[in-house]
Amino acid sequence: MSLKKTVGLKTILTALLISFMSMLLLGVIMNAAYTHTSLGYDLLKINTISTQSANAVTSVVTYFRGLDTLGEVTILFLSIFGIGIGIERSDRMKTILGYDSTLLKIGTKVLFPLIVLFGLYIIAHGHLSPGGGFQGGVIIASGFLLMFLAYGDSYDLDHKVLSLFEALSGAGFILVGILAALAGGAFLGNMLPLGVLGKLFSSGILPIIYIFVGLKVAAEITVLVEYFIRTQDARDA
Amino acid sequence: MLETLNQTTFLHTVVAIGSFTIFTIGLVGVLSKKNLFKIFLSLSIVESSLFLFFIGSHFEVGKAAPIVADGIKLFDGHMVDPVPQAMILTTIVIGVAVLALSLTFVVNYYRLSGNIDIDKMDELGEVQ
Amino acid sequence: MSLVYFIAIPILASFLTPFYKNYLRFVSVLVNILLAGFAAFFYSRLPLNEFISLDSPLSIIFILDYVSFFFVSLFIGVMLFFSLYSIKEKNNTAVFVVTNIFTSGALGLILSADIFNIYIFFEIASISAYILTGLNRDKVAYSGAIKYMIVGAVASIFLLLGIMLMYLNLGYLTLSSIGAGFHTMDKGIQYLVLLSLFIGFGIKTEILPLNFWVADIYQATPTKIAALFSAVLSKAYLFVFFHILYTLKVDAPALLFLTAIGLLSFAVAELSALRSKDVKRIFAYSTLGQLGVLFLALSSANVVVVSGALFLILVHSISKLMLFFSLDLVEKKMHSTRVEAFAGFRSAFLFTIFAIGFLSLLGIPPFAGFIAKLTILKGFASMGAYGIVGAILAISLVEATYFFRLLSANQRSKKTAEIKVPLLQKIMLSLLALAILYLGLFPQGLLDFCTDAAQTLIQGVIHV
Repeated sequence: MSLKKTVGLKTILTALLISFMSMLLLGVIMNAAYTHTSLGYDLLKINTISTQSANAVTSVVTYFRGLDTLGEVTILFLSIFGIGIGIERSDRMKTILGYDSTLLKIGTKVLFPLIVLFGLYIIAHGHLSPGGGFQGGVIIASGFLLMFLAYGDSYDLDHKVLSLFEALSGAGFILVGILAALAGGAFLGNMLPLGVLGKLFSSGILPIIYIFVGLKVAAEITVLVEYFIRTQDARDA
Repeated sequence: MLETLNQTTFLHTVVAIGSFTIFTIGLVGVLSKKNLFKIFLSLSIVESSLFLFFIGSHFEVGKAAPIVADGIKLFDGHMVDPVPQAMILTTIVIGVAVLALSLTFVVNYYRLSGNIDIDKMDELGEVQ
Repeated sequence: MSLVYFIAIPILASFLTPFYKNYLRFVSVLVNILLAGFAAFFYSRLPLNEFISLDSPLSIIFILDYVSFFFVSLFIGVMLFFSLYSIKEKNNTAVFVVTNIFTSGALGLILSADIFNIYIFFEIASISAYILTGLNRDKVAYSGAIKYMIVGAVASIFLLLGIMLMYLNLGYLTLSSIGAGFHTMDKGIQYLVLLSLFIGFGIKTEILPLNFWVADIYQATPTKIAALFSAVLSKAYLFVFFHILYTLKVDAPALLFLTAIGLLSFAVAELSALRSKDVKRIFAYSTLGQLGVLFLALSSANVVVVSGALFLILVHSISKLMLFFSLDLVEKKMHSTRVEAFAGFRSAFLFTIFAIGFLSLLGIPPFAGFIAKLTILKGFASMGAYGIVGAILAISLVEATYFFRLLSANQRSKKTAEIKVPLLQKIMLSLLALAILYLGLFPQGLLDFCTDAAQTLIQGVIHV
């Protein structure tokens, strides 16, 4: 088979045109001088006095730019809500991936609590070490994915509890922000004592926000995983 | 020889060239592929190339992650800028959410119409 | 009181949906009334700005000045109207979950003065729009949503590229610091940033080379939601784009380029509407045409023209709400939005509403559209740009042609169905018609406010 048949002239022309434009773009970008004074360095300087968090990325995500994180959580909620509208829950739904193995089932039962515990650990230590709400939340959701894979249709998730978690963790984030504003500070401002850098109970409001974010992400991704794994296969519709 | 390879400007050049190569690959995919899945995955590739470029451009030789641990006791100029990392963390989550939503739309569309080719999407347009 | 309540409260209402599943429509009305109360509270305290989380310029900044107050109150008004109008729809919880978040996305776009925060709200508003497009869950809706997501993803990629370049070269994210540092950047980077912003916002503001998708999306969307896209979404992006441009203090040639694009967009959209046979698409093209006029007027950097443009934004939002909502009633009865279906309905009330909407969009006295167009034309005449005045008037004739063709088609053809408009809908639509008439007869108070707003817009963000 010749190259022309597999790729096609139009594709090659598009590729050439885009490569040319990307090269122009690259030329402009590499010609410029990057700045060395920036918002990030200013925030690093005030990080110790204003948050006492050992992880500066966490302080930026949950405190200095907390509103971005609120928007991000909202986007996660919104798109999973949109996915839920599209995928109807019906009796005909079944797990499309599943392995029937006793060994797997028993092993999963041992592993599942450990995975959830590890996820909670990552969430709770977000202000001390690498990690945090998003990472920990996804780890918890991966535990649920394991359960779906091992148990298939026989694993029953309590949707009431799940949606309660989803609602309350998202609302908790916003309510913490509103409480801070009502207490006289700024929205999402700090109203708690900062403590000592490096201790688990330190950094004021940061771990609380990250716990809410972590629970929200865990709930949302679990819902997503369930939608995707318990949907009908598109081919036999 | 190895000294020059370990310089910040050199590494920035490598990152810029590499990420814009990925950028090109993604855009070519968007414009030349007909399969809706491949189009959305190409868009996701373009997005990832931007993340790579932005994070890579803020890497500097000899600077640590902005976390106090392992002998680093102070937040100062010996750490890299934390804001880009936070920004990319945010955009990655947004990217995942949008990708999941778009692929769901594609699956639902395929279920209803049996078509996954962008050129054959003729439901919309001027009535005859 | 915090400005963030404008964003936090609608999101909170959506998050807590499981607690009042079937009563969300009432909650949405309450939320919108609450937001209107906040707006009234802040009116006497204009202009003000607020730092979020950290009391220092290093954190995210929200600004509520005259022009953002104009947009905030307009959007809250539209959303309140929407939620009251659909208060009787029982099985429609999904719509309200999404429209609440849509409200906060649009308000966040207006209020935020931090470029990365603007990106977040840009995404929130876009994603809610994608979901609203796919709401009908048939293959037409999904094909529209897929198209929308592809162009939307391209827009957000380019916007992100622009933001990243600005952060790499300037190191700060607030609009005021970007405005101060923009001209110290490398020339090539400046053009690249402007180009990415133009592609990113140009797609969303539905401007000429980037608006090939709009009519399809409006056709796929439920008719009432299309009204929201026309009245809220495109206006929010339009405001943010010009807010950033005036803050960056771009050169005159760039503004001239935008003026030309706007004029071309106006002409092409009205000509496309002329040969369209679907009323929903005609309204979509008419929206595109009006957005072209707004682009043209907002890029003039002249206080009179810009104040006229702001007035036109208000009038256009009200008129398009009327037109799309009435079309929704027609569609429900006739099961189609084609011109033949439109010609076949009989209802004196709806006919009057359509006529008022059309006349106002055309700029015929005594309706409010006349004042808006007059102000814009007066401003251009005072600038000496008589060519633009002539062009706008000539293209408006095309607009008049298809509007009158629609009305006369309905007058002449044989009626097949009588439409009974429910009382609530009748009252709401009459209120809009009265608002247009009132603004046409007594425009002075609003015009004065628009002049203040135009001055703040042209000045750009300078404080801090």
